[in-house]
Amino acid sequence: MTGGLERLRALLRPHPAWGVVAAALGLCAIGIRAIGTVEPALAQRQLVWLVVGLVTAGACLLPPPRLVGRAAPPLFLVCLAALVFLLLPFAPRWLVPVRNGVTAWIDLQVLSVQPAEPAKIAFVLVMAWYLRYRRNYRTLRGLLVPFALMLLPVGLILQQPDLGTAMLFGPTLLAMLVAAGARLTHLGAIVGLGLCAAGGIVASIYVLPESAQPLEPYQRMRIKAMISQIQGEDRYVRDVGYQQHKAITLVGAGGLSGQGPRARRLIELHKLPYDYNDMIFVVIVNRWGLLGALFTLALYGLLFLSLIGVAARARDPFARLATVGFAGLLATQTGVNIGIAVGLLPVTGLTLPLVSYGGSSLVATFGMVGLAANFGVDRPGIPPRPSFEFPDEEPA
Amino acid sequence: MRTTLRRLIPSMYRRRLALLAAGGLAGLLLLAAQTARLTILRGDQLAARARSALTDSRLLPTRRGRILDRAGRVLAADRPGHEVAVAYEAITGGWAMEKARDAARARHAERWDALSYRQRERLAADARPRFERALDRLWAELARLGGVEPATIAERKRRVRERVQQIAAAVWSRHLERRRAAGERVALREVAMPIREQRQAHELLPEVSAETALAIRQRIDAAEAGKGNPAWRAVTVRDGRRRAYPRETRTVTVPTGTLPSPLRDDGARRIEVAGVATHLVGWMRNAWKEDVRQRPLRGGGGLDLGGYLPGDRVGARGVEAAYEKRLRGRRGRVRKRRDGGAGSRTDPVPGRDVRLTIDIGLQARVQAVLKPELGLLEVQPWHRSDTGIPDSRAGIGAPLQGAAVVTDLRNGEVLAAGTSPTFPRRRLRDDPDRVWQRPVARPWINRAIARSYQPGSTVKPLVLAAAVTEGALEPGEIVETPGHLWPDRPNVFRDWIYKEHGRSFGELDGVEAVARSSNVFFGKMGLRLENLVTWFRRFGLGRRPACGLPQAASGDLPGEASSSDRAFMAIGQGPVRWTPLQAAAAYTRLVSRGPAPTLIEKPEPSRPDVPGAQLPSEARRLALDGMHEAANNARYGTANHISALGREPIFQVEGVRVWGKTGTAEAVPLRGEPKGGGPGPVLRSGDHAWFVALVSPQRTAHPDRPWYAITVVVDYGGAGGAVAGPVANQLIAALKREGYL
Repeated sequence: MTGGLERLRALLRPHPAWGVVAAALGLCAIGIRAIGTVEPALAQRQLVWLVVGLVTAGACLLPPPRLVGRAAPPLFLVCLAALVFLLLPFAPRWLVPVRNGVTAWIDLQVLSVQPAEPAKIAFVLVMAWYLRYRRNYRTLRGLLVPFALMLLPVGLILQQPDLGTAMLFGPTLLAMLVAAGARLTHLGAIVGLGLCAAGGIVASIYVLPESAQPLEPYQRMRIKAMISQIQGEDRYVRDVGYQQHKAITLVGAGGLSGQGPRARRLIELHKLPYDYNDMIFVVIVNRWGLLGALFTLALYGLLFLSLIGVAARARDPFARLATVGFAGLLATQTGVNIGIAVGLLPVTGLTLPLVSYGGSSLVATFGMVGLAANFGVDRPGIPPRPSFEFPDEEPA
Repeated sequence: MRTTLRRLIPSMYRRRLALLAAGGLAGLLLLAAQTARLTILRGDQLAARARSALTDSRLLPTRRGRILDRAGRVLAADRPGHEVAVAYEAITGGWAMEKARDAARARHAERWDALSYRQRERLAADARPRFERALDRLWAELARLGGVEPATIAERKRRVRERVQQIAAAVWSRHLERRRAAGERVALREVAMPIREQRQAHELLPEVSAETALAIRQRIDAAEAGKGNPAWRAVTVRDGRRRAYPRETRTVTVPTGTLPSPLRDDGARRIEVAGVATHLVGWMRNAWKEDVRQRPLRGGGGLDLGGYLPGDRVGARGVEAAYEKRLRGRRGRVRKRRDGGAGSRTDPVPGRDVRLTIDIGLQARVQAVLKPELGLLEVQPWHRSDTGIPDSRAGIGAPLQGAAVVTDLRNGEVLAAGTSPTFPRRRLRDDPDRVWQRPVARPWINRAIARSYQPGSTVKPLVLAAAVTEGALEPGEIVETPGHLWPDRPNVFRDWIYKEHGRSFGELDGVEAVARSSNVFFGKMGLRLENLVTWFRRFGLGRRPACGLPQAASGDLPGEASSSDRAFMAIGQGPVRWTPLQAAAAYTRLVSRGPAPTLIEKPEPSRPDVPGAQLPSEARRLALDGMHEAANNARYGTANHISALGREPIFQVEGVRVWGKTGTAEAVPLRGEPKGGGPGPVLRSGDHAWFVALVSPQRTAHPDRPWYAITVVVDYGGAGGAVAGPVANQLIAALKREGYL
């Protein structure tokens, strides 16, 4: 019990974890007001989810990191099993409904769960647990296992298909490997290969015949629509480019200080799809303008820097990597979501962490916030040996 | 750099964290920069775009300008009206299933997501009969309100379905072919996307009265408000403005007394002309992509109310096309703000009228004369011409093609310009092959202004005037004319008298040379006149006449000519061709120095001054005297009589004074599509028959001044005097009947 009290007292000392919590709450507040702008009823429900999220975060504060780490592999397996279950051809449709052509939910009647959400967290934890005392990832061969581990959930999620969520795993793993001290040349080569592949796929849309296309037609159309939008054409604005065209229009219409309360009617009349979750950033800019957008981005900056700060101060190697993983996960998701909203990336379904409407996402994110705060607390005891320090950082 | 960093942050782990933090911040900065770009740099533009999406804008139709004849009679005008159109979905009946699905979905909203496809379809099928009954009621009521039989509505629906399916099949197979040609393996069902016609409303009741339109609108409004028969929501009442051509068909009575004797009978012939001035006035077509691209209603620079939308009507051919800009007008617009702001209204600007110099009454008479059924544009035995028509009876009775232009010499205004054959506009829609697929008749050509021919001897009076003006021929000078021009070549360049009788005309002065149409005399003039090409140019050859219609052809005229070319050009052969309109223009210049001929009052661009064929009166007098002799000298005037009909006079109209010149122009044969390696088969050959007649009333203040010029050409008709002459005679009769003489 004294341990618990001690930890509570430690929490009260100034600490980067405060920044994490403050940023998360600030973003939640913005989110609820933005949701309230377009869907007042959903804002009420989001408030309820916030409470659930806070409770979850509180719960995540308690277990010591080592315990969390031990639980990671079984948790990861459970998540993988759930992802596999979604794809089983004989899964009953009342339990695994198809929504918008995607099988991503398990409908437990009282609430729907999206297994991909906990899977993201479990992946970060299991990866941190796997990497914490190793050093073989400083060789190319040693990178095989982490990447293979990543491909398991990514492959399953792509089958749903949910390209947006699947896209988050790569950058997250990359961030963790960078922090763990993998060779930047290796990682750079892998990223380069990935970019080349992406470029090749984009080029193939324009070059290859229909029968040899690697992407689904709707994905190709979205990429084409975005490229044509960047080129200033408007030939896709009535179909596939509609959402992004509307998004950019409404973002621009926000101007410096926003439309204020008029934003509600403006967005309603524009029929922006998914304005309360995937496109919530558009609502923020439209209502509060560039200033509101910068404030939101600043809060995200605070969130990420605080998470990095927590990681920097943590001494337990598992806690360090897990925190970096959370930061990578949230930063990627934020970047992709806002990138779509401002027309820098092709449209794919992805929520804005802490701001978008959505229970699973909010609770999962608060789980990460809670774990990060937990990892950030200085714990008495034998300090672990220094980790991730390699004297010869790069071969000369 | 690296060492500094290592000294600053000794821990590699923390340096890596700093790297990650920097990367994250860079990403956030990029997003911030893009947001700033959109909100600040493009903010105004995007805000305007956002606002414009909140404005309901409705276009108001405008009225196209009228086309009038010289007396202000309406040749083309928009006729206002309403038409009732129904969505294609309703016409096919698919509407009932769609509405049934909506209704089923609304009724079972809470469990809809959980239902299988088959369950949903079953629920929809249950709801379907109600909507089918609604559709049936709609058809019955439409028939009643429109005053037509229910069977008529059913038939119109069937025709719409048939037409749309045909279009869709054509569009899809074209897409399929194109994509297969690009190497894709696609099935038909992959390209079978709904085409525009399948999403549009189609007209079932054309031209309903204002009361009917109102009654139908009330039913539509009620349905929109959720009352009455819901099927009315598939109906629209549209502006049914149509282009009407009220004087397109005209029946003309032609007394046969002045026709060549074999064609005469007791009374008069009634000739129906379907397509009066069709070629001149033109017609309308649907806008092409190019029209819309060239001047879009909604273009880069905002809204151009004079611009085009797909489906707009655009002038095709004739004045409708040439004066599209003046006639078109500008749409109006009503704007309403959906967020309650102030709207605006721009009234439509109707198009301006275009007035022609054509007299539509005379035009109808000219076209009646040119109709083969009167007999003048049919191959007749007394034409004695070899037309190359492959027919055992030398093609007797076969229709001929031709054109005639009647011009007022005093002001250059064209009173009538007929071409044969012509066609009523509805044929373009009902039987287009009869317009576009006739290789001999080629009805689409306006021969009066757009087809050029070798002029033949009709240029001789002009050459005479030029030679006298240049001093190449003294007035009254006698020229010796052997039977052929070049002493050593007796088989080329001969006079007709030498060809037929082996004799020569002997000594000729200019007047008699015109009257006898001596080739050798004018061949010599051609050799003497080194600047013959310049003179032809002064008479308007080789230049597009500024008559107001862009399809007027410029004919052919070389930049310079060798002496033998000049000899041939002086008798209207060799490298020179003109249109009947250019012939009229040349004679206008010969007679009156008036302005260039025109078909349009106030044409665009305005008529240029004639670059003066500055003719001394002596030259003009000699040329006209020659033509007067040709027409009136019963002994040797070549434009006086038809030899094959016992020297029957060409001119049969009393009380007029005529000048005339024939032309029989050797022509390149008309060939069909080439088959195999060789040239195509000869469809027509022989000479083009020309006739130029100048005419005035018998008694005028200046008896040496003709008032009107009539130029006639008959394609591969044969001898100018026998074939084209009687046509000119009939046109004089027509001028008289219309009160011009």
